[in-house]
Formats: sequence, C-alpha cells, structure tokens
Amino acid sequence: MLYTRLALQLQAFTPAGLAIALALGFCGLFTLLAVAVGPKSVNPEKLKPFECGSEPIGSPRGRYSVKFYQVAILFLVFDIEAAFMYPWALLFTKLSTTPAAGPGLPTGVGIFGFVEMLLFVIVLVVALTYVWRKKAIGWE
Amino acid sequence: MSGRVLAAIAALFLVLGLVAAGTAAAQPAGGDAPSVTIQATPGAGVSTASRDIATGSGAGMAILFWALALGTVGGAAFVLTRRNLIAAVMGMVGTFLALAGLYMMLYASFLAVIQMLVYAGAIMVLFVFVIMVLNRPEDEPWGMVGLPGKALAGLAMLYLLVRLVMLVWSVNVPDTALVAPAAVAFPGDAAHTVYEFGSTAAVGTSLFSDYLFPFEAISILLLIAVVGAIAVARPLNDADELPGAQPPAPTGGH
Amino acid sequence: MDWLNWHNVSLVLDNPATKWVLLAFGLVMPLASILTWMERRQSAMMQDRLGPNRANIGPIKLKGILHFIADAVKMIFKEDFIPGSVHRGLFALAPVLALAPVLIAFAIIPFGPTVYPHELGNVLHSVPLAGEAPNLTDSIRLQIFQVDFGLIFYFAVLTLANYGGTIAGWASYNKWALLGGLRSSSQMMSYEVSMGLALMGTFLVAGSLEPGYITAHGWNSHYSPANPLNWLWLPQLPGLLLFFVAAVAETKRAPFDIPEGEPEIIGYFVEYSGIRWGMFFLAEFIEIVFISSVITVVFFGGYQVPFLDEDGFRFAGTLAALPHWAVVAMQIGAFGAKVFLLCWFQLLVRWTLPRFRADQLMSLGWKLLLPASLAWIMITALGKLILMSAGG
Repeated sequence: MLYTRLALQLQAFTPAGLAIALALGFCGLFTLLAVAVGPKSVNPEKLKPFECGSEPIGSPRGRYSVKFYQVAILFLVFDIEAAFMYPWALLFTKLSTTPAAGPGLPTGVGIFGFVEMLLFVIVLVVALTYVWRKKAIGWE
Repeated sequence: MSGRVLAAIAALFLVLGLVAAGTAAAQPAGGDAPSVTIQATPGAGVSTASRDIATGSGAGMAILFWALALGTVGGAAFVLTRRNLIAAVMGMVGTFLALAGLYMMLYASFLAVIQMLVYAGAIMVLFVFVIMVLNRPEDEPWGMVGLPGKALAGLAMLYLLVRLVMLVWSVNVPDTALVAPAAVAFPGDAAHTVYEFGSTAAVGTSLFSDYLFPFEAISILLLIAVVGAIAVARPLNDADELPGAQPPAPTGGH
Repeated sequence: MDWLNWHNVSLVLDNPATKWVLLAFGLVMPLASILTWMERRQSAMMQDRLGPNRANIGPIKLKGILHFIADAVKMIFKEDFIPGSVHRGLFALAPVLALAPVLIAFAIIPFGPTVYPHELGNVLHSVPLAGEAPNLTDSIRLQIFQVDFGLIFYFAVLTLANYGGTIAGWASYNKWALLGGLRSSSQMMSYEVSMGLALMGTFLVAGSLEPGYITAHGWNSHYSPANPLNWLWLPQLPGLLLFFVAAVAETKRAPFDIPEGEPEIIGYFVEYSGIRWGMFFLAEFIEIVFISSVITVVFFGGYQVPFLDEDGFRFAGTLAALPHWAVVAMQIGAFGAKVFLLCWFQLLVRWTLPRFRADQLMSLGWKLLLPASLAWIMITALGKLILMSAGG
C-alpha cells in the first residue's frame, strides 16, 4: 500500500489525467472519422484558399498590426496579477486576523492583507492608466 | 540541413542530462547515509513505502517520471527540429505541460497549475502573436555555415555537455528528497491550521510572510513590462501618430 | 450474482472515467445538441419565422428536435476537405485544441451531491439518530476532480482553448481566416483577464477556490447551504454581472461574435468542413453549457434545491423528511434545470443584442470590465473586513 503523501497526491490528480485522456480520445475519434468517412474528391480550383471565388491577391503571411501584440502583453501582465491574487483571496481571513492580546481574549481584525493587495493593485492600475493614455487599448 | 543535425545533437544532450538526473535520483544514497526514519506527513508513522519512493524503487513513480521527462525532452526536440515557427511553439506548449506534471510530482500542485495558466497559456500565446504579427518567412533561421560555424557549434555543445554532466554529478540526492516537505502554518495563527506543502494556501502563506517584499516588487516589475511593451510597439516617426494617418495595410480587426 | 453488490457498483461508478463518460454523454453532449436546435427554433420564434421543423424519422418529428441528429450524421458523412496550401498538422490540431479544453474543464464541476448507496432508501438525518449509525461506506462523489485550486484549473485549461481559433486561422493559409484567428485570440485574452478577476470576490467571500466547497457551504455558515439567500449571487451580484458579460464574450457568440461573424465577416474556420468544422461548432455550444455550469455552481448554489437539506424539505423549523434517493434525484435535477435556464438566457441575449464593433469590444473589456472587477475585489475585501470587525 503506497499511501504516502506522494501517492495520495498522484491519486488526487488521477481524475484530471483521465479526463484529459478521455477528452483527447474523443477529439481523436472525431478526427479519425473526418479522415476515414466521407467522400474525397479534389481538383485544383478547390485546393485554392477560399476567397468567395476571387483570385487570392498577396500572401496571407503579411505583417499585421502591432496592437495584437500589445493585447497579448497586457493579458500576460494581468494574468500574472490574477495568479498572485488567488492565494490572497484564499487566505484573506487569516491575513486579516491579528493574534489575541492574551490567552482567552478574542482575536482582532487587522488591515495587513487589505493594504498589501491595495498597494499591489494600485501599481497595476497605474500601468492600466498608462496604456489607456497611450491609446494602446481601445483601438479607436 | 546542418541546423537539423545540430538540433538533434542538442536534443540528445538533453536526453543524456535527464538520464543522468534520473539515475542520480534513483540511486540509493550510499553507505554513508545512516538509516534515517522518514516522517512522510506530520503525525504519520514511518512507512516502508515512503522509503521505497525515496530510494526510487516505486515502479509507478518511476514510470510517471520517465513519461513526463520524455514529454519534456520530446517537446523540446520537436521545437528544435521544426521549420514552421507555430508548430515549434506547439511543441513548447507540450514541454511546459509535461513540466507542470513534474512540478506536481515534486508536491508543487499550485505551481503546476500556474505553470499551465501562465507559461503554457499566456506566454505561449504571446509567442504565437509575435510570430503572426512579424511573419518571418518559413526558411532556415540565420546561422553560421561552413566548417568554422560547425566547429564553433561543436565546441559550444561540448562545453554545454561538460557543464551539464558536472552539474548532475555534483548533486547529492539525500535519502529524504522525495518525501514531502513539512506542512506550513500561518505565522501568528492561533488556530495553528497547517496547509499541505505546495497547496494554494501554503504558497500564499509564504508569499505573505517571508516573501512579502518580492511580492510587492513584482507589481513594479509588471508595470515596467507594460511600459516596455508600449515603448517597443511605438511608431518610428511621430507623424504616424497623427490622427487620420493611414495605417499600413493590411491591418486586422477593423 | 454475488458480485452485484453496492460495493462493486460504487467501485465502477466512483471511477473518474465512468463519471466523465456519464457527465459528457449524459448531460453535456445532449444539452449542447438540444441547444443547437433550440437556438434556431428560439430565434425563429423571436423573429416570427417557423425555424427548423422538417427532420423526421418516419412520422416522428418532435417539432424539429431531430434536426441535431440529422446535422451530426450529415457532418460525419460530408467531405472532409483540406485546401492545398494548409499546414496539415496544425490544421488537424486546431479543432482538437478548441474542443478538448472545454471537455476537460468539466472535471471540476460538482453536478450532484455525494451519494451513499447503502442509505438510498432511508432518510439521511443531519444529526444521526441514536443506535442506528448510517452506513456511509462506498460513497460516490458526483464530481470528477476535486482539488484545492479548483477554479484555477478551469482558467488554466481555458487559456489553452485560445490556441484553437488562432492556430486554425494560421494553418488555413487564408488571409481572412488568419485575421479571424487574431481577432478571436485577442478577444478571448481581453475577456479572460476579467473572468478570473470577476470571480475573485466570490473566492474572498467563500474562502475557497473549490467549486464543490462553495456549493456545499454557501457564504454564510449561519444558514443552511440550501437557503437561496446563502448562495453567492446575493453578496456578489456585481461579480455575477461582470463574470457573465466576460464569459459570454469568451464564447465568441453574439453580441461578441466578431471572430466568427458567420455570415458577414469571415471567421477563422472558413476553410474547415465536415466534422472538423463540427468540432468548432460543438465546442462553442459546450462552452455555453460550461459557463452556465460555472455560474450555477458558484453563484446559484449548484445542485442545491431551495430549502432541501439532505434529510428533506425544511421550512421554518418543520421537516418534511425524504429518503436519500429522492433528495439525490431532485438535486441532480435541480443542477440540470439551473444550467438549462442559464443556457436559455444566453440564447435570449444572443438574439436580442446587436453586435459590438471591434473597438467597442476592446474598450468594454479593458476600460470597463477590468477596472470594475479590480474595484469590486477591493470593495469586497473591505466589506469582509468590516463584517469581521463587526464580529461576523
């Protein structure tokens, strides 16, 4: 019986692994169906990119607006911010509880957790304001 | 084809490095280590099973480790051998997902899911976007060709290999390496709630006690990243910023 | 028939693979398939048309419900046509990347209570009666994956769904498909940020990231979790609104359907046909079901039936006792009904609101939803501090 912490941990993650395997298997089955079933007929006209019958002009590998890149960077920044917020939200009650003044006395309420996250958020709001002023979001 | 050959050699070295790491992890810690009693979880008794895992003889664990290691190295080799950049990025996503699995095996479950969220998700999407926006033609990447280039690459590879082997050999895996570190309690918590090592709450506990300053510093780092992103993507001449200026075709999203 | 006992049955039923198959083919796929019909039928009613009503098996028509079967059969037997200049590997990968994440994310949704097979015929008293301890062995938890980071798993898996549209656009080697893919990805990223932050308030209030825990406890330990006032919609109404808007945008459906814009501007799956296209289509409808499930679980008490505790209905101190099987059946039914109603509401939104322009879409995501959700998180934290110091 491998009931150690690691075995337990891996056991806890088995359902996720099974769900991933089953979902991928299901999608694989669909792909297999696409390949195996149905008629196949190709001709040169059909093999062209679909542009409503017009001849394609230029290559689809041109350069595109840098705005997309900026969106991706902003997403990354705020995604990381959210990653730091999850443990904070989970621990907020603990972070806001101050130890009791003495044995038998009730515990107090502190603003430590709130202030720490407020500072964190304020800096990110500054970042958001900056991109807003620079018109990197909004796409007018 | 020299690029592909070099890539294959690099992948081989990576495999070698991991094999060395794996055998080092599987080695019993030699005769000098006294038979220590391993406390798997606080309060739990010493179990022989935890010793099995610690000494690497748990077959299931070994299979899982090797499968994940293969995924990591395979993904990296895929990245190196692809000409199509987007396909290479997909290989890198695979590497990151396998890495998330390895984190999980190291008890870092929160880190594993954040690895999926931030690396496999956000950062790799950024890669895809950069590739799509820049659209370099799908040809051989720039590199030195001819004998000097190959000699230089070979030397670099040799150096990398030597350093990797030295690193792996210098790592001394203690007997207790694979046993979970102790659970974490929040400082000053009267209830003494303990959180399992690596859980979301345990990571938060470290973050808001020992690593409070880095946590706040990260917000500044993110601010710098935003400013950098705007600066990099600025138009070259100010004239382009004037209202009514035509953006270079084709632009997307309008 | 010695082998047929509850222990062995629960060994099979409690297996995550069985639960996934039951959930996927018992609830998610049927609901998503019905939605494809419902959407056309409902839009027809709203626009004073007839809508699909012809598909039949002999004389059985069921007001056109059979259309989804006809659609599925048609898609499978259509030509799977791949244009000449596509990148074949990525072309095949894209629909898988769109569909698989939503099917995986369902693992964290609790779709029913924990079932105790030995007590199915009995009333499960919340305080066990003296002398007859309930047999709680072989229990079956109706949730596939329970883990302390709970909903972060959903966000992590969902980020991977980003690749579906983008890769489809790139692999197609078609200008319009590529633009559609870029639109799709930038829209999903813009709203994914707000999705995570909009739920942060509920995590603060519930003190957990785990959907099963949130469902089973509510936000206030003084009330029964079955009390609708104890569900999180009450303290987190702004969070619900923010999450709903962001989540609808995430499904890429009207009024946020710029990535696809099926009839007018060309979307990222223009080069897809047959069942591969069907996978994108199915993914979209499953995502509707999934978002409804998340909202149900987090904000509307999940499987909880109002005032139905595990031993029966309880009004003002009086108890109408019900056996365990009846409670379980009603709770699973309640989960399905809540999810269905929220799906219906999303269809209603789709056929009521006009489409946003691309710039309006970006402004809504970054200039309204993001600051609003950040502000709401801090307001919630402050509110919780005030409640705590008031002795709550």
